[in-house]
Amino acid sequence: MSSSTSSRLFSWLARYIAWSRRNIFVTICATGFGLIVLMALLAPFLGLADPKQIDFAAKLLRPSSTHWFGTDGLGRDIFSGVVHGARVSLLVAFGVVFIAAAIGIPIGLVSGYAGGWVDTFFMRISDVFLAFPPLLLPITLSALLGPGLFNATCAVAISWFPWYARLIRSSVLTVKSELYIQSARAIGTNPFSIAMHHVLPNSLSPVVVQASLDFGFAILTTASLSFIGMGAVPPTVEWGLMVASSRSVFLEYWWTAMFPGLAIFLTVFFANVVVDGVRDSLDPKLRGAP
Amino acid sequence: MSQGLVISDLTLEFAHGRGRAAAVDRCSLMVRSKEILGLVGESGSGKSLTALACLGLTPSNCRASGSVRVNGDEIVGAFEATLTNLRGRRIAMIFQNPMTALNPYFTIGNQMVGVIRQHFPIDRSEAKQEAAAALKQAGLTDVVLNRYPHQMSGGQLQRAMIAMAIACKPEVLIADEPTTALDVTVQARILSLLRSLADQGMGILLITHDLGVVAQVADRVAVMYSGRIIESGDLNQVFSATAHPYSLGLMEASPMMGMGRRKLRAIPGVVPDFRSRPAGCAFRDRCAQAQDVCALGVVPQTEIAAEHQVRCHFPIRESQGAELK
Amino acid sequence: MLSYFLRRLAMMFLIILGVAIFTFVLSRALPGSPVEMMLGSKPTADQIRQAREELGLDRPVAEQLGRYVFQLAKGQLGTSMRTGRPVVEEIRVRLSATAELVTLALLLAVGLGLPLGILSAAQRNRWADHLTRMLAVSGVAVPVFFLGILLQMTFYGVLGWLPLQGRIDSIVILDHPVQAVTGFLLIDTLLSGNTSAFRNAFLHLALPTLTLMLASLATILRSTRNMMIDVLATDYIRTARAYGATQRTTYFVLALKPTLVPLLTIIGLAYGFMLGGSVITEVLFDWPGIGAYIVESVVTNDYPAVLGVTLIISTLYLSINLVVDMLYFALDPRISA
Repeated sequence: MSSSTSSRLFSWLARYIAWSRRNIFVTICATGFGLIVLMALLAPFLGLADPKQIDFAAKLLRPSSTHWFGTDGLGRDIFSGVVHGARVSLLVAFGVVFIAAAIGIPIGLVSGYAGGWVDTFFMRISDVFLAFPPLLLPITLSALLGPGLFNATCAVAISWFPWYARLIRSSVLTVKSELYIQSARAIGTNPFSIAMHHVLPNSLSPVVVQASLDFGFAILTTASLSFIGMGAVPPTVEWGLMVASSRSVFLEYWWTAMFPGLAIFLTVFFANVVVDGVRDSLDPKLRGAP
Repeated sequence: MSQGLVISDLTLEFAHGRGRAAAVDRCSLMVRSKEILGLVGESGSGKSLTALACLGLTPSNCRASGSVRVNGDEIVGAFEATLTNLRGRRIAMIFQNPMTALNPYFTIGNQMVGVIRQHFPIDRSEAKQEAAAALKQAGLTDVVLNRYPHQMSGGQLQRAMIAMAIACKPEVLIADEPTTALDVTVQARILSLLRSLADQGMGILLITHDLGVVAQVADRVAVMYSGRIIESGDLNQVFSATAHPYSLGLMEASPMMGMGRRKLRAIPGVVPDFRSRPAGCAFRDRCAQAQDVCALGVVPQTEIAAEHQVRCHFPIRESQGAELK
Repeated sequence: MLSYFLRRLAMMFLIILGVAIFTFVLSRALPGSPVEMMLGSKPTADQIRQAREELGLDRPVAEQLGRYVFQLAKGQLGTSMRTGRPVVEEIRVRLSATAELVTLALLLAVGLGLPLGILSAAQRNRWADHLTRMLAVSGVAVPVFFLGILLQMTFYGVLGWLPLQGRIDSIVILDHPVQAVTGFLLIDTLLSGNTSAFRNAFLHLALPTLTLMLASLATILRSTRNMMIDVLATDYIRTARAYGATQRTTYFVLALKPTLVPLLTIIGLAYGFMLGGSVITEVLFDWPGIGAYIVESVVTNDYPAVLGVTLIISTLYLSINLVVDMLYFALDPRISA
């Protein structure tokens, strides 16, 4: 590494450390989130008990040194379930956001760039989607697609893509009228190339913001779907499903509901704090001197 | 004649990376009733901060020392309760941008009545009458009482602000760049309104960066540079016998009527940030006649004529032409 | 303003029509056939055919759609295949249960969120602010069902102060019957002086309301705080202070109105969010409301019920948004005057 690169790296590192010290809370939450991600990645390699292993002899055991979070109604180790559930939830949340953006961005791009009746058509369709209060559409779509976590992911993503389409579309509309686009058109660049190389990169930032905010919501929504029986189905290990299956026993055996529920809460909490923290520090309004 | 506004050794300090620095440094000014004092300086000279200090409205990270007396009442270090009584009633301020300075969610009348009833124990209808009277004095009709700010022009809004300022009949009025955001024709009318207010007894501190404005209406003028008053005195004295190199530079850089055809000369260099001010005279890095003594300590104030003070080791005499680097 | 309202209203009808068609298509695509479910085990081919004919399911889909829209225009939502009762009736009964819950939750969310938000803005970056911000972030991160379970564990399991589920105990209803006037138990029981039923209904309402309101409380708190901070930094608030406005006047009059008007949009969104969030709460607390009804209908492929509920709820949601927008119009002097 040349000296200038390493010195740049050092200065970047120094600034990052200074920022972390000013924003201790965000840093702690980022660490927490990082741990959860790590846990999710390493789950199969940690030598834990099989979370799906049913063992009626060991059912509803209190948290102990053998079962750190206790066992559920079917004797499955809850700690292992929570750790493996992290994988599932993070993957699902990422999937939801990714699919929603993957559907919404092209539609919004085309809609905004083409204008005219194409635009009106897509916007009316998204109006219909947005007329449903949250959860209503995912429930119906979930029922349509059938049980299973993958279907639930698609259901939520399909319910959410209009948001992304709209965001991209309004960015596109703004960018479209900018001078550099007009000059590109004037020299005869083909529209597709303009769209991909000029319009898209400059319209992406609100989408990125929305996607990062939606990450936490995606976890909550899919867990909620699993809770009412429309998402993950046994034997999938999923936090919402774990809480659902504890419903008959949670009053006496608190650990069956507490740990998976806490896992959801902490993951979403950390994710939201980190996203907010990063957003705040990038916000020029808050940076300003007196 | 009331005592008006007396500022003595006002210092406004801010903490920064390497300690504390004074954005306003031992400022002393006086505005008597029936007179307009023009406070001139570039942006960053500390004039707006001085104005805010006169109402006790400096930001919370600013430490104020020295004295600001409004008609004998001390502002610096006063309790919030005392200050809310004084603000608007004894001393009032009008701000630079009238379009944003008034609450868009309430009518002008509503806002004025609120201010009036804050200071006088009268009922709404009486307060409304007072408001209408103040509006009239400022050249507006009482139709304005039911208008919202967005329904009025910049000039009208500034008049409405002035009306609000005079509604409680304060002794002192501070006008912070009142005409900067307005058209030239409107400017003249606002200035003549201020003049008539002064003639009726008010003391006005007129803050501006525009020497032309000062020349039109002020009785006395003070020039501020990097938080310090470097020249002050009677308007004619300061304009015709300018003593400080910076003031002279300002004159030469300002397009003003009545000074004949001349070339505008800019002052080379920039105003130093108050956090990194050079020791001694703050202007010495840009001054053609700076000597070694200019770098040492606080520059004392010399009285070079009756009603004309300057803070310079080598004030310009009439026989000398000033030269800038 | 009137022309804007009429245009929005027209748009709303078009969107509802769109929703109807959309849901219709969806429902026909739902797997499984309600006919099989209705007829029980091992129906004969003849029985199936007859049932389908009765229900009009053998007609081409386009025709079914046309008939449905026609019925809609007459204000009829059809009959539930599951219970045999008119969908409108079922919705009406269950809607009032949800409405009571959601309205109470919203009142609490605003009643607590607004003052806390103002406090947070006034005490910016001091401990009160940090605490309330913590509450705001947590409130949004907690899964509704987990919160409900925690509350049930604490107030029913451990403390025994509040009931676990349901809207009212059947014993109480039998001994002290309630005349339905508004459909809101709290109001109806008070109207007839039925104190024991009132008390019972109130106790049953406590936990579901708390569960439902937390996320909205958090959002309202946060929005109020942020909006108020922005308002407090404006030129016009500085002017007000320069003229002697006291802290109290500044916070509760001069800065409040500029904050409240945009806050209306947030409150409208919160109401809509609760309409959706009530699904989880009602399932958890066995609350006989619309949310639970949706789940039941979807699970049993009850087409008319699913269609009816979706339409009603979407209409409600759209109407609330329209009302909020019109209110905004009316209250912001920069637009209305």
